[in-house]
Amino acid sequence: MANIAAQRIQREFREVIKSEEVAKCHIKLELKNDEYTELKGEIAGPPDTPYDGGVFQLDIIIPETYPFNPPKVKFITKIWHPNISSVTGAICLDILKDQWAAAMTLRTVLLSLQALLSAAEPDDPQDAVVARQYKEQQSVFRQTAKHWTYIYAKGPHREAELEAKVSQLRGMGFEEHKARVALSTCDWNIQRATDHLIS
Amino acid sequence: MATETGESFSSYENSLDNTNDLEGYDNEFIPPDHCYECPICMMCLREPYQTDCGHRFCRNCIKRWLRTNAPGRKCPACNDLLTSEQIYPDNFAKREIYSLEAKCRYSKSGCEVQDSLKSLLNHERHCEFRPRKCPNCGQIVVCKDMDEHLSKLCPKLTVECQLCRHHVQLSNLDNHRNLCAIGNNSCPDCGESLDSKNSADKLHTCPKEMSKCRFNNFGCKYKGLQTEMRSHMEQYQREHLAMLADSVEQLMAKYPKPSPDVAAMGAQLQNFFSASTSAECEPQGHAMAAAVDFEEDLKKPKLKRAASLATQPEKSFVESESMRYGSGEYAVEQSHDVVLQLRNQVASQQQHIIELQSKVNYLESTVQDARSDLQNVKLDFKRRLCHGSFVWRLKNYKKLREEARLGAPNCVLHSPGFYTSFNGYQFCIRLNLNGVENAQGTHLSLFIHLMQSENDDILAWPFTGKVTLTICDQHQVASKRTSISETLVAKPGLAAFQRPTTFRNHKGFGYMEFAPISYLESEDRFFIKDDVLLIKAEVRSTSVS
Repeated sequence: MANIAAQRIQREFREVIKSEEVAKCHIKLELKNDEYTELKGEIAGPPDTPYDGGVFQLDIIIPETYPFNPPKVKFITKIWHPNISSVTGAICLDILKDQWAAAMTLRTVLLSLQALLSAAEPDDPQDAVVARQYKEQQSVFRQTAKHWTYIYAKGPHREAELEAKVSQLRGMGFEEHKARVALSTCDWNIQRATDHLIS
Repeated sequence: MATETGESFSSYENSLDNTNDLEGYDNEFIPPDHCYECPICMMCLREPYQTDCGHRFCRNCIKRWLRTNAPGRKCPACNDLLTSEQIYPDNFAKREIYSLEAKCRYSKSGCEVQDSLKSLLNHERHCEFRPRKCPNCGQIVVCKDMDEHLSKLCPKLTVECQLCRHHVQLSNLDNHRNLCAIGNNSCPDCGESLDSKNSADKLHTCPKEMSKCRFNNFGCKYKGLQTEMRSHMEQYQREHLAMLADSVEQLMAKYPKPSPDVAAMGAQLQNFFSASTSAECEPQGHAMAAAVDFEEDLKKPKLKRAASLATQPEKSFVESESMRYGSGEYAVEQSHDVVLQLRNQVASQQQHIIELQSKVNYLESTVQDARSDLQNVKLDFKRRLCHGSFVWRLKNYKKLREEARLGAPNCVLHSPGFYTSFNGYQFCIRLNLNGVENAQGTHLSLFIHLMQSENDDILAWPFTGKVTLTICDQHQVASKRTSISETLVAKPGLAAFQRPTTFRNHKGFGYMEFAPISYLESEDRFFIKDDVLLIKAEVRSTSVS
């Protein structure tokens, strides 16, 4: 019965609109169609993280069996995070999979994702490259995540050094995003990144 | 806005089918209640169940959760392990919920009822604001508006187009009006719409109508708008005159003088005129009025002839025609009387015919009776005056034989009774066409039986005498006839010849094997001719009476 899904989303939507998180611009929820099957979520990057100040957009699809099955959520905004695919935006979060509970709502999902940005789980990664960097070169990871937040999520922290490296590769004729992914993957080592791009 | 419409839509759908009320109560509670909200459907708990871990859900919600999420499931609220054995109906919560004050779920449709949930549930089943699906168009209509919807608003309703009287679906009416033959009755030239009355009376004079020049008959080919006709007339005066002159010349050539028949007609008319003035023409006023019309009619088709005729004869022609018309009307009236008379006559004659018919029917039946009486008397005569020599004509032999062969119940045939003398013994012949006992199927059996008669009291008993039974050969040539004949003597000791105690003495006397059937039926014999078998019995009484 698709009806219960739509009815619940209506109620959740009203709840989210009224919530204090929305009031504080921490989360945001928008309808994409009248059938309550597709929504657009937005979360603010949590403070004291490389994502601070960034705004991350999410694609939310409500299955017919909601709330008995979790919503399908992924990042639209590109993000550098061990549990989120830097390529597809797919999220590795237990509550969106087997730990889903019917009492959870879109609000709790968005808040959980926010929490995920604060506390990554590198041992259960979605993006192995990011997870490795997170574990092995924490400072490089933070710098990269900040840079990505600045570039893709309107973040405030400009990483001039990294930008210069991207420009350098762009100068060599590589596409900007590909260059950034290569550099991020190769811990901003231009030589390796170039090799990576060429191979 | 999207929220609003979506909401009302889904709540309609939901309430349409009450059996699908799986989730909680959607009512607006006063004051708003969150204490009894199901965490799954986020509505007020319907049939609340509680878990071991102390969370409440609607019965259907928690059951579905446990069903959907197979083994090792957890509480949707706290993620504690939960199995279907760990949930229980929470009747305390149920009672509490029932006592909560709420608005009718159809409040958005206009219902203002507010009551405890328990009473509301009862009310909602009959709430006049509950949505219903129109059986015709499928639209969702509030219950109380359904009658109006069905009788006036339903797009599937058939209505009559007021213009063409065709039946059209309401939803198509606007479309139809654009296409409706009568609705679209506007002047093809100027576009002015004509109502049906106007168009019928041709009252509409269209300024854009293209009309012909009035000299069209004389050869002017001009066609134009009414407004331009005037200038055409002025401009082409000379040409029109020439055309007119040509036409007149042509006519004169065709009719140099009044032709003899026209002259004769004139004379005839004169007579009519004088006759009609002398005659008392009763409907004179009518006639004159009719005459005027007649004159008008006359002028048109006879225009050409009129031009060549002298004025006087024409005038008298018209006048006398009108007189004829007048007398005609009189004649019509007269003949109307005649028709009435005739009609009455016919009616009375018809009545007469009916009476005669019934008389004829009566006579016919009387004749029929008399005829059958006569038949009986004839037979009686034959039976009584045959002097013991009776010929029995058995018609339809083939059919009777077939019936006998198949063992029909009446396979025993009896002849009419006959008398040895006018006041003698009565006998009858008994015939078994398929034989009896040993002769069955092979021979024809023939017997004679004594019958009761009014003479029995004056006759001597037992009967004595001779009986001859014959099956007659009907060969055309008497000498070639080989009739089968047997004579027997009535012995006084035989039961067959005692005075009969029943209508027919049940004992008879005769032959089981009177004649082989195959012999009788053989084609070179004439025992059966024209499907008739002739049996002759001769009884000679020697009794002294």
